[in-house]
Amino acid sequence: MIERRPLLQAAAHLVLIIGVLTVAFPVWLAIVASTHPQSAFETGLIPVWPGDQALVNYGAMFGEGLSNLGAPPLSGMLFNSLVMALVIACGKIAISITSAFAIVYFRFPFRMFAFWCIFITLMLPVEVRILPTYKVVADLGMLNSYAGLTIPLIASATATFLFRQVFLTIPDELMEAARIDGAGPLRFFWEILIPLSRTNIAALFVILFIYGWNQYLWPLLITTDEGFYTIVAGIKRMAEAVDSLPIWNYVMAAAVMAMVPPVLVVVLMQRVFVKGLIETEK
Amino acid sequence: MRRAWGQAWLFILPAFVFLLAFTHIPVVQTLIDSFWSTAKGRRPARFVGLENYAHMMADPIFAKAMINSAIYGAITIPASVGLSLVMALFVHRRFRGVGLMRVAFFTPTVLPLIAVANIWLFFYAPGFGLIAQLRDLVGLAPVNLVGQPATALYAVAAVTVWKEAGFFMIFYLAALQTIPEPLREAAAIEGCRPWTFFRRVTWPLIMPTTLFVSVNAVIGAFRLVDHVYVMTRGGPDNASQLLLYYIYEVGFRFWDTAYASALTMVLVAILTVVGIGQFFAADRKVHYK
Repeated sequence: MIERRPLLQAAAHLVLIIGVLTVAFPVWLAIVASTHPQSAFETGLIPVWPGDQALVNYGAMFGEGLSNLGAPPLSGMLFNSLVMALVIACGKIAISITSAFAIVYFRFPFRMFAFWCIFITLMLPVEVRILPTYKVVADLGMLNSYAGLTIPLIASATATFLFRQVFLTIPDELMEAARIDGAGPLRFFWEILIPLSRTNIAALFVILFIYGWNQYLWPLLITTDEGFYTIVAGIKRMAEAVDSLPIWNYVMAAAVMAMVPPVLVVVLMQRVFVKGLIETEK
Repeated sequence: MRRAWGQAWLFILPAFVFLLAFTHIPVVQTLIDSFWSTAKGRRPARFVGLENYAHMMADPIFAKAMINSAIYGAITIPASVGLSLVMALFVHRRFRGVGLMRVAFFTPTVLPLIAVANIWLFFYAPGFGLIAQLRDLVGLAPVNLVGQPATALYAVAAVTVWKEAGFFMIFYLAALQTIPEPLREAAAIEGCRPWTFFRRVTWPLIMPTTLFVSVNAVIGAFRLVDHVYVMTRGGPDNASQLLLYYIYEVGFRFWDTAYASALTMVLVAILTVVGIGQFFAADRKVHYK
């Protein structure tokens, strides 16, 4: 706005507040629903203010889960999700930063071939290749294992592409200087490239952690053993029970717990996250 | 160091092996499988040529899924991109509490789609959910938004828009912040109205971001079906059947892997076309600056 027009400003604020409410209200309702006893949902009225059963509901979900409905305790599922998200995020960053390094800083035979082999997979997210990848994992005997949960998702080109963009913005003179000073490729990689792309690594970590945490279809197909359920896949199994009895309080408690870690990661790393994104956009 | 071939391949090897094992080989295998029949019990798979594809052409559910995917895309792509731009323009300026608002707009993006779907299902629940209660308040008859063919697809699409807009907003926000301040000042001196400034300066400058975001929205329209599993399971009567969900049903519920392979190839073909578009978009972006 160039001039100050109070009426317009008030209108703008009103729109903003309505927007925030639209976005936040469903989440608020989920939190509220998780604090009421089951009987609260039988009256046909949605509670809008928190109840007093929060400790009971969360305690039950963490303690024994809904074992009669095939949902193990939350703590185990949260642990599995955490392992999955961390391994995927770190694994992807590790393999893509090295491959981007090779593609940008080396000239070697079949370089363009390697480049295209990697980049063609940009169009093939795991959901699209789910049927063939499932077959490979089953043939390798990796069903119901952390390896099966994570390794097929580590393979993707998006992170390689981002690191390539970052490395291209780093001036060539730095590499020349490093070489003149007698630093080999490994030393250049560890002591110059990695420190220079720290913000981007952090931003990518946030995105990839959320990506891994929110994976749904893959864990649902790969895990049939309760010990390997992730929380997101576990919610789906609970929600199937809602058709017959309104256990919304338990389902919402699980949903809230599934939402806390990604929100926490974003809030804690908000500054570095946005900075990293802006820098890659340049 | 530019000629250290061995080292270069060593650096690229992990990515290469993973991609080969879990992406390239499986996709090629799918293409081959799509020309064979599904092995059943003691009867092994046999070569059937284009039979799976012929079956697809005659399959009314496939046609329904393609039409639904097109409608789903036609709703979610422009709505989420447009909404994200409006949101970015609002929270781009500096005022008290702007940080909080950015986080609020961004939150739906980081929530697991399954958890979100459950919340919305709770919203939509007939005779009980929030929307039902609002309708009751103004005297409208109760409806089951996810349970009737006429509205199921739109109920699902609304959740996608709600979730995706915040993610695209981040990219627009980043783009808006690269617009130089002197441009704004010059426009102010010339007495330029905000709308004219947006149309003549902001919009052309953020065009590369719009292209990038739209391509992602297209891929998202084919990829984001998690909430369908919880909300409608493709029903009622295939009213919210989407291509990827249909692949899942054919492949993992009916175990007709040959037909699912053929369907997968259709999806791969569509995304390849979009992917080529993305490369051109990225190219244009480079030349623009």
